[in-house]
Amino acid sequence: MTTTPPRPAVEIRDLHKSFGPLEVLKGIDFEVGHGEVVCVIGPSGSGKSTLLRCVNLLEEPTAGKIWVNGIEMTDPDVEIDAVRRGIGMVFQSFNLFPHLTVLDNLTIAQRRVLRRGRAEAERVARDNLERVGLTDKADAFPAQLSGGQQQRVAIARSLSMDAQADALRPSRPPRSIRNWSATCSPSCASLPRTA
Amino acid sequence: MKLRRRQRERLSLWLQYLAFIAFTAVVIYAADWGRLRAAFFRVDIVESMFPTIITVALRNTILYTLGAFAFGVVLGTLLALMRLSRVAPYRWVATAYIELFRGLPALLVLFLVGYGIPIAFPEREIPGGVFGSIAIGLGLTAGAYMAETIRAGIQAVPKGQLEAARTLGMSHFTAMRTIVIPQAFRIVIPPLTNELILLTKDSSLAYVLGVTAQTIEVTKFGRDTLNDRVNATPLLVAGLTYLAITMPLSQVVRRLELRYAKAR
Ligand SMILES: Nc1ncnc2c1ncn2[C@@H]1O[C@H](COP(=O)(O)OP(=O)(O)OP(=O)(O)O)[C@@H](O)[C@H]1O
Ligand SMILES: [Mg+2]
Repeated sequence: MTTTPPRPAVEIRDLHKSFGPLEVLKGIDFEVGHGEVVCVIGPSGSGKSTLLRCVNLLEEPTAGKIWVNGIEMTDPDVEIDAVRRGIGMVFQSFNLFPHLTVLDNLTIAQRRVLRRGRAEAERVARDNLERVGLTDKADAFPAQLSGGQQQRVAIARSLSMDAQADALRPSRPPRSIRNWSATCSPSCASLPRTA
Repeated sequence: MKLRRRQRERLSLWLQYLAFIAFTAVVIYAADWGRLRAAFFRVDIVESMFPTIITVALRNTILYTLGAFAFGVVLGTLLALMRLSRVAPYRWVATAYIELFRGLPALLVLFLVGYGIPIAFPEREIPGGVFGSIAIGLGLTAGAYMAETIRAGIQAVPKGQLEAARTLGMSHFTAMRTIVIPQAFRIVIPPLTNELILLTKDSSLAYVLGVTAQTIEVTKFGRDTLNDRVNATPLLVAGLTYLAITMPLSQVVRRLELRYAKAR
């Protein structure tokens, strides 16, 4: 479809979103390049979560266009399940699956969506748990974790869906994640990448 | 004399124990044990009921109950999903069904399945004989109740669970099946077990379908033995047989609830 030179990872044009009479997003335009780290900051209730939820179509935009990796999300014919696989998201309230262990939280979508075998899914899951420093919690249930630990599981769950996850076997966790785990360890309410 | 509050409470407690013991003693003393035992506990009659009450009657009671329960759960889940569907006609059909079957006596529905349908379609037969008729007859009603329970269970699962599953790329169907419905079922296990206990007792309605020596269940077996022996002992035995399955069932539920409480 796109033969043009690399498009931004995320491209948003004139995005509007209203909940009934309340207009939350009033024409947002921005781009995020590949490898770029962007922080969206603003007062509580200003629409940060709504913006991120629009990006993977958890909220239907009222108007405007969104592309992710060159694929138009707002196209009515978009293969939404396929595109969402390529978009990681950590929810503000984490939304871990309470009936599954930490390990199963990380493997279920790999197995059902990416069709990875159990052994491979568990290997990827354990690698990602190691990256967020939670190898010892693999068999715990979410309710048995602290808030910060739940957040790290949510991050690891999202990372486990990475297409390149097979290649990622870091001997040491990357710095960014070590910092996250450091910030998270006692209990922290919000981090930049949450939605 | 002025008593302190603790002492007053303790005195009141002891008085109540005393009253209870006195009452029990009077009942034990006043009851005509000889006649009660002759009417309700004739050991020879108890012995004559074994092993048939277990190998045939209880076995059939359990089969009928499980058949009706399985049919009801499948039907109830289907109706619950229809009631939550975005397709309006599905919602209408499910709502109409639930309203209708909750308002009809289970016995009437059983007659309908056992006699009404065979009259209307004489060339066809309900598969499974008495078992099929009772499973469907009781399951049709049970399904209507279970549908509402299951719908409430599905709605009790936070919206974020479905969103998180969809965000990971799962289809709506996969997300419902692997994430939402398993959680909903944990929520509805206590009310559904209640339904199972009700069905255990309702399975006694099988007698209206005309059961044979092979298809007899506990209540009818007790009643038939009562007729033969002109004695009430079989009713006591039948009653205890029901308790032998319904009481452990409540225990199992309590265990499951404890285990799931850990995962919540
Ligand atoms: N489903 C909804 N229906 C109606 N209003 C909503 C809905 N979701 C969000 N809103 C409203 O939209 C506005 C933006 O909400 P949003 O969750 O995006 O804020 P936020 O910037 O993420 O805030 P916070 O920093 O507190 O997380 C709020 O006023 C909120 O009440
Ligand atoms: Mg937010």
